[in-house]
Amino acid sequence: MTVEELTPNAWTDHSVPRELDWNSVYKDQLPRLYNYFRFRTGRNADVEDLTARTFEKAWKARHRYRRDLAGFSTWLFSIARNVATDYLRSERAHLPIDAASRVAAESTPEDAVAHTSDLARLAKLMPLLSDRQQELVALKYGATLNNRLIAGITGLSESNVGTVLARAVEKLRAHWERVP
Amino acid sequence: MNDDFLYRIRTEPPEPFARELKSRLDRSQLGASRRIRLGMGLLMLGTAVAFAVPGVRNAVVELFATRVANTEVPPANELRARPDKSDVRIRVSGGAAAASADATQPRTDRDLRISAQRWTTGQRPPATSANQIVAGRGVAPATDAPPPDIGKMIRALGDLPVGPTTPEGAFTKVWPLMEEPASMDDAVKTRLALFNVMAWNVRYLEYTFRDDKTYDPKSMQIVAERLQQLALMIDDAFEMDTRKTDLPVQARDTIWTDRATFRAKAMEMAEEAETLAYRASMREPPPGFVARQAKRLILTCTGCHEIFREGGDIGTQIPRVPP
Repeated sequence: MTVEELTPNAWTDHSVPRELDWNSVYKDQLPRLYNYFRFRTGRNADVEDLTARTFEKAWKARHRYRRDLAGFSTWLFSIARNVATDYLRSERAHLPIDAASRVAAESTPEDAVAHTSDLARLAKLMPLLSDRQQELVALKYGATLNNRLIAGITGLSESNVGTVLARAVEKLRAHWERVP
Repeated sequence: MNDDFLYRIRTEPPEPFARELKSRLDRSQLGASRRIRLGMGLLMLGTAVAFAVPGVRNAVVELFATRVANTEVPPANELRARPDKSDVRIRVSGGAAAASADATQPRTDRDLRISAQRWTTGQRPPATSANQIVAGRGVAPATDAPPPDIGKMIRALGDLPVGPTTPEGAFTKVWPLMEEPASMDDAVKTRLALFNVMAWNVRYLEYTFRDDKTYDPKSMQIVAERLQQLALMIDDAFEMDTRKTDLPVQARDTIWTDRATFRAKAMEMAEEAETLAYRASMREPPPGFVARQAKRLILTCTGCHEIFREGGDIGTQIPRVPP
């Protein structure tokens, strides 16, 4: 059971249950958040920390969650996006994004293992996408949110989300097999 | 859109991590609840202790009074710069709680009656909320004398037409029952005499704080009470419109054209004087408690002069306030 099922038609229906089942919320949202951060950062390191940080922030701010304004996923991923933004900004302070591909291209034993995984491959291709495309890819394929929810989180229209995603996927697929 | 290759990247979070995070969140939920309960308990315990022990209670109340009641008065030029007279507000120290009233409303009989009653019966003046708290919590004023029998005093003066039958009524509706000055010049002279007496008393404040003379609480209280009563007479003293007098006066026309503000200023001074009298009556006022109030009182004088007196203030000395 997902949170959206627990709060049916959260966008329009105000007659949702008064109390959320936090156990179900946690069980449903944890894999989404975890994979969202994997897609956003392109690696497994720090993902657990970012996921935990998001949950803790949400837990502390749960009294501010207003279900009449947005679905729970929308609210939670708004927090996650801020966490990711902070993290990426601090990372960039140490390592420019342009340098990431050069570092990844250098052959070290650890890299050799990482390159074999799809995640490492994605990490090498993500810099080809714009920031917005990266964000949408992470929300769509990492958090497995539908276009409607993504539109609610990002402020884009649903059709725009679909268009941006299609172009991003096309670009990734074009380079996917070429990346070692 | 063939995007299976992206879905394949997803993976389940490690089970130990999921378990540990869940456990941490659960603990934080319980922890917060316990902390709130503990905090509430300590707060209630502290309150009980504070108000059970007289010494602690008085210390807390005086500390509160020092922090809350000693707010600085804006300088006179800020008072003058108020853009809209409707913004000028006065405190009406009536009833159990000090309330606010729009200064544009005429001063009511009730205002005067309450103020006069409080003075004549020796009640502690609740001019500010902090004062009310202090007074209500037992920081007793020095005066323990029984309230005077105003009715008896009035009867002793003879059958003077003092207005309503209630004793405190002696201080209300004064003007309509007074013999009007024979002329405009008489009215001017009367009010100049009033201001001379006020200045005479204000000089005591200047003198006391200017040169760090010995502070005498009783004298301070008396002077403050005098000033309170004199301030209550200001409005009546200007009841007759003397704009056409031939005497050289410094009263601006705005006294009569903006009557509400003028009344508000007079009431403000009366209330500040009332508060000063109360503070002077405290057995152990906190440092600077009286001096700051004296400064506030004198600032009401200068603030009013800036608005309603030709040439502005006459050089009232604002006392230096000790730290």
